[in-house]
Amino acid sequence: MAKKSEKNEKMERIKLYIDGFDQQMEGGIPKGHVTLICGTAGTMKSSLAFNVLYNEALNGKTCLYVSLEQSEKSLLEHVENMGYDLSKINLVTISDISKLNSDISSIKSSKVGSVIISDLGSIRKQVRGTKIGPSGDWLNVIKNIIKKLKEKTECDLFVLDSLSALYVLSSFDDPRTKLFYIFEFLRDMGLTTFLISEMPLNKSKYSEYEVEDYLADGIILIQLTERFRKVVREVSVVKMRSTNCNTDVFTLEYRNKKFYATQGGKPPIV
Amino acid sequence: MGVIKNTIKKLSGKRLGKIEKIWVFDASSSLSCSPIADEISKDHFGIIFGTQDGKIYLLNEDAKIEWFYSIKEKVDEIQQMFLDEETAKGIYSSPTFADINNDGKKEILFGSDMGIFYALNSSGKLLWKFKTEGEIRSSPIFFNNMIIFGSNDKRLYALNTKGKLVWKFNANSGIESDPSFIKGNKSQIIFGCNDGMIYSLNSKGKLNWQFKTKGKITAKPIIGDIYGKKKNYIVVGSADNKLYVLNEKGKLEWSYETEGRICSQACLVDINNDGKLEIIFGSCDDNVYCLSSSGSKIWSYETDFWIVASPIVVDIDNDGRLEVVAGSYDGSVYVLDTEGSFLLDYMPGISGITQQPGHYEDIITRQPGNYIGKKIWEYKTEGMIIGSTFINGKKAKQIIVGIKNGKIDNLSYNKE
Repeated sequence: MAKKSEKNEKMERIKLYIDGFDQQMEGGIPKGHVTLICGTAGTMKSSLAFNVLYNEALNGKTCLYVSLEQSEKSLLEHVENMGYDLSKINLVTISDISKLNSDISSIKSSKVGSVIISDLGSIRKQVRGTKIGPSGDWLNVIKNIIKKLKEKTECDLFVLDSLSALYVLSSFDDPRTKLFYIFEFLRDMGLTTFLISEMPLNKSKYSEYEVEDYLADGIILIQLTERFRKVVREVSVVKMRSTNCNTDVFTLEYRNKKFYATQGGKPPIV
Repeated sequence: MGVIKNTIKKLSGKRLGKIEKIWVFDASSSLSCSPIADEISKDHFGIIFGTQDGKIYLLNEDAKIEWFYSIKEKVDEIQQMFLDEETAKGIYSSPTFADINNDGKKEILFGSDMGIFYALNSSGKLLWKFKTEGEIRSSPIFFNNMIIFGSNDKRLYALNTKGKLVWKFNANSGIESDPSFIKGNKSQIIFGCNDGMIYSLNSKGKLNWQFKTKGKITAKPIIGDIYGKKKNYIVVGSADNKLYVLNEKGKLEWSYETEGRICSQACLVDINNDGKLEIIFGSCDDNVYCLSSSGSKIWSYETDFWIVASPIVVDIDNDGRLEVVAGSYDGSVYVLDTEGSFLLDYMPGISGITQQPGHYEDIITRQPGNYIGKKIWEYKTEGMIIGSTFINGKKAKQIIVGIKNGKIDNLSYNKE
């Protein structure tokens, strides 16, 4: 288990809610950090990110999940199948940006923590035909939702699913500069952020422009590994600033409505 | 004591005096374009600039606000969500002064990131506006009674003095470079594009020629008779790190490669009275360059960060010699000697008896040193310098410096 330094002991951390894994990184991710969750398709990146928000909402926190591709309906069906009891949290969906203020009042009046799901696919349908002007940008929609939520609620956590979809929605002519400002914006907002990054199948890079790797405070890697015709999911910390962490590869399992990290990266004994 | 100090300085070849701040103006919003100074009406100088929060300020020579104009464009709640409220109204195109209605006073022309082009009268009242479909980051020119500017909607627009469209030219990418023109029987309008293309149009908006570079062009092409042969040449920098010199037919004369993007207009001036124009420009490799008309480097001066402001060449200390004034992103305004200084790369007197590096042939044939830029004065401002302009004012020669943090500094030479 990774040892906590004296200075880091005082640091507030957000758990990943992976049994056996949080203990390997001083209890979790430092609050306010921007972390990439990288993996190829089918590695449960979105589920892992939702798992964090759900558990934090159970603790009374307000969390925002922006889905750029998967619809809110499909996402909720998926997590309900996984066994998450959504009745225990205040679940708010934003599919009409003109009603954002009324959505915010329902969050403020809730006695339990909230997970806000913003499905940009539905918003795109809503604004079809609206002239958004020359300087209009979908990135600004995400930023403005965050700003409004941050102004009027105690929004603490944010998931963007996914960075790859954002690159299609918004123009990234100068990705280095634009990404720098996005990361700065998220840090200024004080949000603990998870950015889901879809890796290519050959796993040659963690993110599209690779600059994200340097800008992020942490990288969590999830991989599918084939062993004797069985495919297992593996999780590891590639980097985590201000954290003394164990970078071994762990097997990632989801059973009994919970994520587990096991085996410490050793191959199974045949 | 001062007399002795000055005498020593004179004997050592050092220039006397210093550059000092006359005033500073705080716009309370990031500056998004270079300030421009001009004589609005007789003996009446104005300094104009735009800010990221959508305001245009006109200051007089004493930093008093004559007026300001605030962009007010109505957007509904949904449209608002698509905008970055801090920068949506930003004015990135330096305003242009031009007397478009022949009333003896200069009107002010500029565009905004909302895609609207504005014409204000000399008192700051709106005369008319014109809508495009892209951000306007190109400063307009007034040419042949037309107002010509580019937009990020990939079009170059020509409007009449009432704000009505005369013609538009469709390019293949957005246009952020300011257009320039060559006057004459075969007038040309020349501008660069975001895809690196340089276009030449006739005064009716028809294509004359095009030339492709490999980087975005934000710099304004500058036109000059660089060889002194009564022929115009086009000098323009590109984000592919090169400075290009083209002839009037769009054929490449030569190019000079730096190690950084060239974002701003070059300055053409005859620094050595040989009848040819030298080319002075800044690059994002942190250097100010001075090239000969044939494209060889005369000198370069390295600052600590990018140079995106166009250099100014002026005799700031009235000694009959020109100086180069260049602002850098490192926050300093550098006043450089236009001629540079020759630096020997060996110690005189010792070279004969000490080993020299390199091949023998190289030692006897190569230059014994090279010219480097020579700093005369440096003035440290509070932030990144995005542009500067010059006023030959009644009281003094003034350098107006625009700083990214929203400050405008007025600097002048003091011989004391």
